[in-house]
Amino acid sequence: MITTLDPTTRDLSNLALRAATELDTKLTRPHSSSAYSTALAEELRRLFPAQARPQLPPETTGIVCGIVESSAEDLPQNGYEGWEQGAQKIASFLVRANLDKAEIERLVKFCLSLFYATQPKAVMHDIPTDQEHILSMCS
Amino acid sequence: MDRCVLYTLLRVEAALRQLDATLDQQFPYRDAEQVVLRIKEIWTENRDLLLRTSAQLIEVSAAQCFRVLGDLRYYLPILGYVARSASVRHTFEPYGPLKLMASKLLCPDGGNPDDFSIGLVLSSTWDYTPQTTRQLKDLPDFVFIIVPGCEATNPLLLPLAGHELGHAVWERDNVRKRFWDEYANRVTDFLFQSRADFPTVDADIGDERDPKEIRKILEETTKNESYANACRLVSSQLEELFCDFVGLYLFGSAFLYAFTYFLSPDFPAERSPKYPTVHSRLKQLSMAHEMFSEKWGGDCFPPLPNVEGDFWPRPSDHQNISIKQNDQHRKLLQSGVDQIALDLAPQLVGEILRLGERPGWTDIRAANTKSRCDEICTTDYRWLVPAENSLGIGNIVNAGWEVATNSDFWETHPFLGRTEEEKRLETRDPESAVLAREKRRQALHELLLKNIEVLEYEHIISRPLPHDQA
Repeated sequence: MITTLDPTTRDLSNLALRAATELDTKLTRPHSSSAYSTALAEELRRLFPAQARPQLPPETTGIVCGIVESSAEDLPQNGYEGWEQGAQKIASFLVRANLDKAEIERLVKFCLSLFYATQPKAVMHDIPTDQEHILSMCS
Repeated sequence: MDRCVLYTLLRVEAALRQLDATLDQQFPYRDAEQVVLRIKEIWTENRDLLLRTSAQLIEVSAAQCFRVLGDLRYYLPILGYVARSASVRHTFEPYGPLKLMASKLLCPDGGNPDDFSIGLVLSSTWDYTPQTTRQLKDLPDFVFIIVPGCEATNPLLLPLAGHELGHAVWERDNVRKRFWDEYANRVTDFLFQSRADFPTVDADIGDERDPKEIRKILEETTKNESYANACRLVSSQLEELFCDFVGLYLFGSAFLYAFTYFLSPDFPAERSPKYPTVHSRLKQLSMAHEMFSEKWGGDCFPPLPNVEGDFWPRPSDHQNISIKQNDQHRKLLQSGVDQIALDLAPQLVGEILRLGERPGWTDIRAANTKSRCDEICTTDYRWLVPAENSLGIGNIVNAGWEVATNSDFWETHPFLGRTEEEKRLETRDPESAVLAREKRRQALHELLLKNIEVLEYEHIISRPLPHDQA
């Protein structure tokens, strides 16, 4: 599947991985930097404004929102409102000072899911995909 | 996992060695070398990150490897294009004028196009289609135009670069975002109207009838592929139409000629749903041209040549075969997507009309006129001489196509003209007809390339010298 990222979500992948790395470090150094976690929290709040649809292209809304939905447990509502609340919940965890091991691991899982889902995949425009006789080991 | 990290490190180091070998070659222009140096920075930083890595969680370690390897996979083809850009099989004359055109086109709103410069890499590929890249992360100020290798020396196909530059405009100006709501709402309408043929959509919508609520439902039902797929395809088709319109804006009739050369009688493979049909693209180009001509006049946008007779739909479209349920479903979705893209095409032209008021875009348009193109043909090209003050690369290629599509253009030329006897000989001997055609083709291509060189030289000497600016 080709993810049609636009500039508003292009850096989400990188940010998510850096936040995951930062959180991983907190397992042994609880007071280490939270710069990327904080930045990711801000980005989540921006992408999921209150009482509005997510600031994402229509074709990728489902991908990102699905991750929020599965990561933030017990959302009281479905749809836009639920996603917004889910994103706010995750954002507040990301900036929390003292996280226990289970919370860190859950946040890492969220960040990595976001990283994988939002990685830029297709780089070339107009490249033909119909060369059935050109085979590859893996794509 | 330690071994995985080690293998990843070794792979990055192997790629860095190949990159260093690329740096050993001579580059025809600085932009290509700059790209290689930037990629080197990225890969080196990734290598250093891996050397420092000590993740506690195995999944974080794995993700870091994936990211590093992802960057290898992302940039290696780009490195390949840069390496190939130095090949002497390419013509380097168009580089300067195309870079100037790209810079004027992509100058941000409010900026001074005379002070703005975009990086450009011209290269070739063994794929039989012109290509470009998305705006590359970490290389956002570079544009890549890649042409099929066998046509890399053909200046008549330069207008196809206009389509590729359109992709750069689409991204950098974030044009797609301005159409999100439009196409999302239309896809919602289409799926609602056709819900009987899309059972999962029908089930999701249920009894809801408010269009805004229906769109919410479709977006909220994250497993609903129909909505996401349809939006993706509409977005893609809109982008391709937009790029055609940019090509038309930049090069006028020459774009249509180049389009015809490359895509007639039809695209020679199974149609991709991400593109409108060739027939649709032609019709929309005609529509766009009318709007351009109405706004900016017939000298900038003279009547387009009639190329309809050069197109014929690919035979598979005529076949009447029994198709399975999922193919019917796919075709129905395709027809909805096609129609939505066509319905929004005039609004895409509206975007170009708006962008056309920017200083850089105005400069490009004002330089390319039919009156100047005609002068070039009658005064200069008639005698196989490059024109001074051609003003723009558009005039040069348009004049080139005027010559190319007129088999009698050089009939009275002392070297390229043919006597009656020679014409009779060609009708009897196809080989001599081929040789005569090849002679004229080479002469025309050399003429155009030389004229592009003159254009660039005129641009260079028109700029103030550094000591004049002090």
